[in-house]
Amino acid sequence: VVTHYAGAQAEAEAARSGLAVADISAFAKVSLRGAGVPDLVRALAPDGPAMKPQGVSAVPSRQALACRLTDDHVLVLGATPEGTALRQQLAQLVEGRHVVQTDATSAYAGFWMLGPRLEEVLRRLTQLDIRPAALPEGSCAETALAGVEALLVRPGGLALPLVRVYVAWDLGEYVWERLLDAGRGGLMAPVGLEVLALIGAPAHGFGTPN
Amino acid sequence: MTTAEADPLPPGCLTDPARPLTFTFEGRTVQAVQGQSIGAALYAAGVRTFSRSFKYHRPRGLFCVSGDCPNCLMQVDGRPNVRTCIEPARQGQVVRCQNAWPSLSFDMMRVFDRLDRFLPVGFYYKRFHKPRWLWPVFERVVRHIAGLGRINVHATPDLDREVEHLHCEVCVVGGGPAGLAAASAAVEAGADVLLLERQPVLGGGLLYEGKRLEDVPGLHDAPASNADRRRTLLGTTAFGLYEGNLLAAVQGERLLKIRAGQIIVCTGSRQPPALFHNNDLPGVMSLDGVLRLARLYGVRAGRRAVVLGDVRASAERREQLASLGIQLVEMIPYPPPDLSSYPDAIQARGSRRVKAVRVTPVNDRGEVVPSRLAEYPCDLVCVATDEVPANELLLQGGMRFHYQAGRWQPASRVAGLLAAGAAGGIVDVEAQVADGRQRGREAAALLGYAVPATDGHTYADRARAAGSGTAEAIRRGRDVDGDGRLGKRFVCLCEDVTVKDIDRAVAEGFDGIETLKRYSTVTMGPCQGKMCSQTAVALCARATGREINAVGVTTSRPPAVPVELAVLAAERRHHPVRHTPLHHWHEAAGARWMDAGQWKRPESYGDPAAEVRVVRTSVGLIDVSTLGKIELVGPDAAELLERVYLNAWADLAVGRARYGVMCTEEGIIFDDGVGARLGPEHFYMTATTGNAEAVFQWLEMWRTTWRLNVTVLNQTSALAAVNLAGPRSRDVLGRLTALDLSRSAFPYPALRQADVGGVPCRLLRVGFVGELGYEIHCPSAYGWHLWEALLEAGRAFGVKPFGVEAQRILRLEKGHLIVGQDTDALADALGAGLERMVRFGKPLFHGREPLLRFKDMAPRARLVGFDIPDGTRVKGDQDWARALEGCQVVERRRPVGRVTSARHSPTLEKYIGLAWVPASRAAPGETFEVRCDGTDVPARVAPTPFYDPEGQRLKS
Repeated sequence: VVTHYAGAQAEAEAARSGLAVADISAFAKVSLRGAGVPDLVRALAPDGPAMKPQGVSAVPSRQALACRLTDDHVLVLGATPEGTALRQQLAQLVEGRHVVQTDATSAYAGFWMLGPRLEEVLRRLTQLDIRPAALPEGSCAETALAGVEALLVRPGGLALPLVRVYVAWDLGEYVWERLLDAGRGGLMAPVGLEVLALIGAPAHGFGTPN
Repeated sequence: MTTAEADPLPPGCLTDPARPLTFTFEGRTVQAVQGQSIGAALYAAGVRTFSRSFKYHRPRGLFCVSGDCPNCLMQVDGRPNVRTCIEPARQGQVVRCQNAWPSLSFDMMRVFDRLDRFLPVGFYYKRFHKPRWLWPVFERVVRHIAGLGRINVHATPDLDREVEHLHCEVCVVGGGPAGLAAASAAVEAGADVLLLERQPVLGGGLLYEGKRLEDVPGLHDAPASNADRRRTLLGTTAFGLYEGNLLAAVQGERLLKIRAGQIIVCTGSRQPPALFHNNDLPGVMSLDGVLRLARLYGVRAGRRAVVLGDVRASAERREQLASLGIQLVEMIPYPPPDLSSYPDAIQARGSRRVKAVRVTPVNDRGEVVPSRLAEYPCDLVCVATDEVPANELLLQGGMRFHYQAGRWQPASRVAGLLAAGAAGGIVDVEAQVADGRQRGREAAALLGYAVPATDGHTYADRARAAGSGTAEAIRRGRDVDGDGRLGKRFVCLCEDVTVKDIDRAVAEGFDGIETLKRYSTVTMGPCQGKMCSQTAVALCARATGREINAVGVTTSRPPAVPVELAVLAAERRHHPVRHTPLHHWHEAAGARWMDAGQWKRPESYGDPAAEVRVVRTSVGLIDVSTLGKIELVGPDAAELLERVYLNAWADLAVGRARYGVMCTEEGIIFDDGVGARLGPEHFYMTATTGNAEAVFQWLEMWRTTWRLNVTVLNQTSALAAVNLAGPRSRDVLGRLTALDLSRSAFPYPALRQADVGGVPCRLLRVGFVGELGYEIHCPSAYGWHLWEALLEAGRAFGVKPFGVEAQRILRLEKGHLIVGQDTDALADALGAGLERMVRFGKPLFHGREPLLRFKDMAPRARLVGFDIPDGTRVKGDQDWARALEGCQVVERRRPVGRVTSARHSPTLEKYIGLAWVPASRAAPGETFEVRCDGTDVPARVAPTPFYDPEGQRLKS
């Protein structure tokens, strides 16, 4: 996991003034699918946005985000690369429910895009309406980004605009390059995870919805 | 150096005189200032002939100065057909004329103007057919003469264009008075507005009509608190309106795709050419063109002008021109006021530029009366005809227009689309502003914003603002066929279509506007009918005796303005590339790459034959992460597999694996792979690299259709996979895992789960390459670690990586087919020799019925193995062997089949392959010929597998 590139302070400034992109591919992810998902989400994040498809709820007790992709599919995003505890806790919840749990850590590459010029860059890569009114905090959407399938998650909870981008693991390098290309000209800087702490993001920059 | 005109006008509002620049035109240096268009700078430098017309090569000069007409098209820095009247001049540009030879001022092809009797309308449909043997000559000549501009086909194309997706509630196209008012009203109501303006500044027609934006009430009423709701994009031209209110626009070299809840089109209007003799002479300009040239770019179009237009506006025209230092010589009524008699014949005179306008009365027999000449010397003819709406986007959006009260007006409503201002048929500026505000409020109301009640202003009310009815006057007027003596009257400047051409085409039976368009090519040139559509419709109506609305208008399609193909292709600039977790290891090892769909795979590491030998004699390692990997979990998992695969799965024991083939409902081979049972309700399947996603979706679709209780998981990206193959593979693997790898404990084919090198893995005993082998699957993040651990463990055994090419040779030696290479859209399982896979006893599976029918019929073709007798070719020529792939199998010189795979086998030391041959020739020992590069190569059907037919090695 990259902690910083040039220097954490400079990278933090880039995030505040332009756009920062961080590689969070290593963070734990767990996929839960099946008819028992609605019941599971009720137990995981009661009354949160994830109760409905395209909703994203914080799971504070597990420092995780629950992204409800479809009625019968929820993707749980961990806050650190260590996912053993998360998987075990979820396995207990899954017990007795019609849900298939799989470790999706290596299934998705993930990027954190943070900064005031977020929309400006994403507009060059996706036709999804990513204005806050259309993709508000606490929501997610599956869409095409740079010609590939991607999941965009807007968790919120930070002062700066933030969107997480998830794509298939094998497309991670390609999408990383496309992101940097879209933000060329000093618009965007790659940052390490130290920066996320510097700009006030808790737990390795893990934002939670308001 | 060409010097600028003396006594210039005040600087144009788009220019910055403090920033001079120069460019070259036909090798001459021309001065300009920043913001000035190339056309304006050339005009200021005394250039009057800008281009040669398409068909007759007549000299053409500036007309519209708005990028609508074709008169100023030139080659700029190698780009053809640049509209120089609006293209900004830049330092160092190289500007050249096009469609003229040897030069713009002396064009030899002007001779076509004299030969017009041999080039009547639609001549290209009538000529060049006979004698047929001359067609190649005709074609070469026509291709040389036709077309505009030249593309440098040897230049490296610059395709780096960006695309940006924008969303808004209201998109206003056009930043003139109506557009500004509409945007302001919509913002006031609370809507999020995107305003597009093609000029670098706002104002539209106000800029060149001498009015100040600040003086027009109603344009800036939005409260400051709402100011951030309006985004303005200058220098942005909308060119297409598509389904779902998707508006395409171009800003510089960037493609914008805009999705808006409501679109208000305020694109203004334009003045088409008037119909008079020699109406295309340089010096004949639209009045708006004259104003634009002066006020936008600071260039005076002439000194003495004759104006054709509504004589009631004489005083206004005189004042307008006087403010530019131009004297109004004469105002000639146009359209003719008295439609009951023959109108006076109007003729522009001059050879290379206009020098006078002659008006010749016509008697009541339609003959000109030469004794009553009136001639007005001038250097400029201003055409002040009725303006027609610039309504291309509205028409593309499905809005219909009718001609009523002397003007084109919207006649239908389209959800999400509104017309405002001149684009909606309104001429007066104050009325345009009022209309814009009304449409802005209307758009906001349609989006659910609370706005004041509408003021009752409807499309029908606009009829009150009647026009002078140019089109109707043309339709009803009497015409003198004086083209021959007094000069041509052009309807379409782009395609050189004259009044006479239209009349002839109608007389020949092309009396519908769409057929007339196709036959005469009117409206089909670079302007796409912007300048000629109204006149063509009116002339068609006159010639056919119909009403204008009965004739209708031609279809408007995107792009409404010329757009570079590179811009249109901007969306396609993304070329996804999938990397396996081992990509950079392969790169460092010097892999030669091949594309497999979006994947990059190592074709080899230098010597595929050596890689084959390593696998056959020791142990090799290949990255197979690209394989599709699919899990099925649930009580109906086995049932789903039973239905989509040809073979049986329900009887597969836990821990065992099996090769499977799936077909479409037509019995055509769709995919193959190995599947294994992880638990009573849990299967793990592999699919081919190219079909991974399709197989997953196929399973998902049928799971849903049959309502089976099974969850299908696509693990392709989540898992890396490597294949350790060769007689020493057990030894290598044994160093990294505690799993019992003995033949009895882990037989072929089976699956086990165990740690390998500390990584949790799934291990499959498979035999694609025909040796003892293990396919090891692990989480992608551990792929690199696993690979290096295996290489390290295998060092003592001489382990080497091998690529896809070696794998293809190895599998060919085993006679294994590759779906997609050895099969095609007609390849059924029986013909491919997979009879043993099909379990006809199953009650339901894809392809059962057609395969039962095929079974009863004798197959027409079979996939067979073949070898090439020794002596045909020197051994080891893989290039020659590969060239056989795709070649025809011939019998008595007729194609009867094809080769699908061919290689030289380093193991067997002979050329082998797979081919589809007639079933009658499929028995081992039969011979056939393969036509390769014009040579017939003898081949012989051979039994497969070529190597280890008993399978002892892979089962060892």
